[in-house]
Amino acid sequence: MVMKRIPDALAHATVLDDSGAAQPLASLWAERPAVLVFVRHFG
Amino acid sequence: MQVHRARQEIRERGAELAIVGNGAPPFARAFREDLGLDVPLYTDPSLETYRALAFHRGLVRTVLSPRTWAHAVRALASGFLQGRTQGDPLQLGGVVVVCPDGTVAYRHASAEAGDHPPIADILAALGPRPAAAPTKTRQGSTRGAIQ
Repeated sequence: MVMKRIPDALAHATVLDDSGAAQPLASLWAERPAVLVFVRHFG
Repeated sequence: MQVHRARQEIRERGAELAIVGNGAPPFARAFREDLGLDVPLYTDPSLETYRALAFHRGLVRTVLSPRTWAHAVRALASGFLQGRTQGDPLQLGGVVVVCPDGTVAYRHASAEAGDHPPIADILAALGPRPAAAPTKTRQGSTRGAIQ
């Protein structure tokens, strides 16, 4: 599939940093393009 | 992928790299420490971001894929599916490049365990490095020449 724009669900998603604090995912591309690598699992 | 070199190449093209997983935050911390990661690291235990990006999930693509066949029996026997991994064992990942206007410059959904896109494809989506500033001397200039 070709995804040309991020879906709303992604634009409004929240992720956690490694201390557990919430961060809007969209903040990662607010100012510059973001390369996001989604990994399978940590361990 | 050599993360630090990839990060440098990405930064040279005006973008920033971050990693997202799906285990609990303590596992993200351990992952960062184990790998000596310098890159921003986040986690989405709800998997909503993986679903929103339509990344793949499933038994065949992960545990039973041909690339992992040699490890499949051992993994299953050691409780791979019973939540001892640090995240969802059936979820596959991928890569997405998102621009500030919300457009997707690149997306790769891993088709099976071990399927990772070449870094060159990601860099190509970011465009070329900005050209180096031209030097001030012109050919034939005597600047710096021995007089």
